[in-house]
Amino acid sequence: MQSLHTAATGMQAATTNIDVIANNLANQNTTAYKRKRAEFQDLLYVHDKRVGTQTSDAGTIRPTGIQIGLGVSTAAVYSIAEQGAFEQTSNPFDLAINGKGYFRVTLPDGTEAYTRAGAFQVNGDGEIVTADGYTVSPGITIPDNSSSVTVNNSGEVIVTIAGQTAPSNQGQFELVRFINEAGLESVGQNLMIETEASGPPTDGTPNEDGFGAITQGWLEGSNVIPVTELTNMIKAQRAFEMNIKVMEATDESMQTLNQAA
Amino acid sequence: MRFMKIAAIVSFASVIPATGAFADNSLYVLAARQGDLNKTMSRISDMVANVNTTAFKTESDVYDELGERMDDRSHISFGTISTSKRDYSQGNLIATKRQLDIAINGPGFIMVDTPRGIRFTRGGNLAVNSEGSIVTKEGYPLLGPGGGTVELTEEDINIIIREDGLVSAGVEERGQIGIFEFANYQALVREGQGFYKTDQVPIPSEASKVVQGMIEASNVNSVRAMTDLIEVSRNIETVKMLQRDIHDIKLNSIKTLTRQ
Repeated sequence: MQSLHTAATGMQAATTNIDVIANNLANQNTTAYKRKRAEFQDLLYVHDKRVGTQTSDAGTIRPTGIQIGLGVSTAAVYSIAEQGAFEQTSNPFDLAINGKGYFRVTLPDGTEAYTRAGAFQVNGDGEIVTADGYTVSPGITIPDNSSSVTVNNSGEVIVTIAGQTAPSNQGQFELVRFINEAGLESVGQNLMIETEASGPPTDGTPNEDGFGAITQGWLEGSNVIPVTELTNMIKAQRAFEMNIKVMEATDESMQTLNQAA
Repeated sequence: MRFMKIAAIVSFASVIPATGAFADNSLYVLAARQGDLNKTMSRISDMVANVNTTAFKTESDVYDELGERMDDRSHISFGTISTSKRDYSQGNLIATKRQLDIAINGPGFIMVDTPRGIRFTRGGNLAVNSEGSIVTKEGYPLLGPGGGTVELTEEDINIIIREDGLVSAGVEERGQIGIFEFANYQALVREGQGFYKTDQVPIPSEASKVVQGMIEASNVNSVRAMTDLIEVSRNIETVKMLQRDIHDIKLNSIKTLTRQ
């Protein structure tokens, strides 16, 4: 009985769907988290009667055949890059990107990762780093005697140093973007890395050439819509239950068949 | 009740040996029936498994009578699956708000250039590859009405896909996604992964509209699937019961006839 295995694929798919939904719900308050969606596709088919085969030597052909599918598989889990809602924090090192682009972050092993979660800090050397202490490109240092820090829409970091009248420009944040954003690989800690699918990063300046503008004192929230996720969860759960019913029915039928005549 | 009618035919066949016909085919009729019911069970489980599959189309088995005249008095009918029918009715549209998710509202299909040749799909979960071409989730390029692909550039931010499949970024056109219809939909062969294969000449579809930011859901009716499931499993029981009855008849006949 193929139906037992088919139902198993259905249950696996429903489980994957619930996993993805659970992760979305868990990350509904994660800065700049992009919701994910599981995409399903049909598995292969067996031909019982192949369409288009000859049904007689007069040349008549079978207009429709019999194909029975063997279940379902998960095709992709992709993220949806819709902009999240902005939350005001009034922290000078909280930067939201309004539009396209990612901050470039240098990981401890020297490789680069990308993030939209602009919840930055200053480390012991005055350098602007991520919450995990990784340097944000191009590595801007805030002098320890500065009294106020302003980041403008173009990502320029302007500080006022005590005893000086003219504010000084400490550098400018760089943004990057990818032709296929969905191809970036999430590696946790709100970071993503480049892949063959995403293509190489294109560098740019905030608020120019279609790059997003930087907004200081704000953070980008997640774009998870809890109501939608809960609805999807109910659907996934019901799908799981239905597959269990199929399994039970198959099991019952097999039991019937096994009873001695 | 779709499968019940066949059960009646089966029971009719099973009556034949009792009425005295010598060629006793009843067990074979029931065995064939049992095999077909198993197939239908697989079919239903496939429908249930694909209840959340993008743009999946329901399919059901069509049972038919395969009759055979034995002699002047008896006639035997096998109830068999003669063909299957695919229901191409529109699935619900689910909003994903993703720029490159498209759903087709209408009978059309997207044409895709796969390594196995030209294939068709309604799965509109599209992506851009690193060269800028619009591709399916497997990375196969989409083909336009003239056979061309849709090429985006790195500067394209807001991609608009119009109802007729025309893709533009800002004011610049980047190509067109072709939407096609077929003369005989039942002859499309399913290949899995949402792809369909056919030798028919695709006809540009006027009646289909591309909807951006949406995905077409599966059109499997779960209530129907669960009802069919109950019916088939009960049918399997009925057939089994009939088999047992025939067995008893034979056993009794042997006992009675040998008891001189």
